[in-house]
Amino acid sequence: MTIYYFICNDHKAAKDSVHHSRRLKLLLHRPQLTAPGAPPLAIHHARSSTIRVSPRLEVCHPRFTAPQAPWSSSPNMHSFGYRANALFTFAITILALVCAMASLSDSLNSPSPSAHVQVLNINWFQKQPNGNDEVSMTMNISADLQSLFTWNTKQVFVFLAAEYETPKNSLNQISLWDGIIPSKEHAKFWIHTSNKYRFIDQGRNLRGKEFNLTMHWHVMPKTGKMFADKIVMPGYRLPEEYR
Amino acid sequence: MINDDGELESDQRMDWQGQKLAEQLMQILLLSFAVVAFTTGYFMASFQMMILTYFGGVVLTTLVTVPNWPFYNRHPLEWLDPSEVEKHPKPQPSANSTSKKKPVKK
Repeated sequence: MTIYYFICNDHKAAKDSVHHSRRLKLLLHRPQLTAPGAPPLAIHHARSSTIRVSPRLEVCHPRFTAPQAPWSSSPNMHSFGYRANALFTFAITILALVCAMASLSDSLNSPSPSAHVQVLNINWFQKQPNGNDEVSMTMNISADLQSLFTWNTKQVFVFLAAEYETPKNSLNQISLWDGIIPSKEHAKFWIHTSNKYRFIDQGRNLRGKEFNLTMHWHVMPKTGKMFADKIVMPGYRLPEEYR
Repeated sequence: MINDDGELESDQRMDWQGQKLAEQLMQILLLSFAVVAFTTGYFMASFQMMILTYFGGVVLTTLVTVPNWPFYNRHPLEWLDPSEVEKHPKPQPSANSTSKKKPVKK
């Protein structure tokens, strides 16, 4: 029977350590930890307590923690708290991976939405006291956005914008109406409404103006990246004179 | 072995082979439950089903891996009795401190 003492440096400190140590633990010969003829292992552990007998030498007391097995890739799995922590961390990491895969699966979806807007009536068309033009109109908005929904879609935010060009700005976009579509069943809709938000120009450029009505949407996922797209519907025109 | 706090030494609860087994089991179980959860959610077109399946798997893995089941302690280490310590006194260092090997052969 061979008994190995676990001592960190040389044995000069062993004599002094007898006075300082309370109990030394001896380990039976374990060939996989030390080869015969090899010097004794120095076991350092994060929780081990060392008693310094001189500034140069230490004696490690493995009693406080058992030595690490060389085949264990994780240094601490020997306590309930450590295992629970390792499991929790790994589970959350894997959850992040699963959510990333769910988000990537959205790219497999090729949507085919459609929309149509009919301007029924221009309610009034006036010049404001501060000099800006303002229009109020009634529209029929119908759209089929069902193909945008996947299993990873939380909701779709859709809005209708009037777009036109003026000498001052190359592109003006005015949001006339918006809505939130919470699920696929509500994604095919038809709505008869006046413009929810005021259509006001910066200036007096709207008389006889040709404009596009563009339906924009933002698909908000449950996990992952939000993406946006639009359908442009050209060919609308405002009246030549104020009403 | 009882340490100074009066608790069982950690090796008595789960040995080295058991720790390795517990770690491997945890990783394999969590990964396989993640795959199962993703396919379940994808083919049922329900994000909620995926999350519920996965967390059910996490709970199951916790029950299998975290407590000190007996099958984790099948290869316990053998520690010497403290009475043996007195029978084998520590080797005294020799005059030349270059020699670092001091086994006591019986």
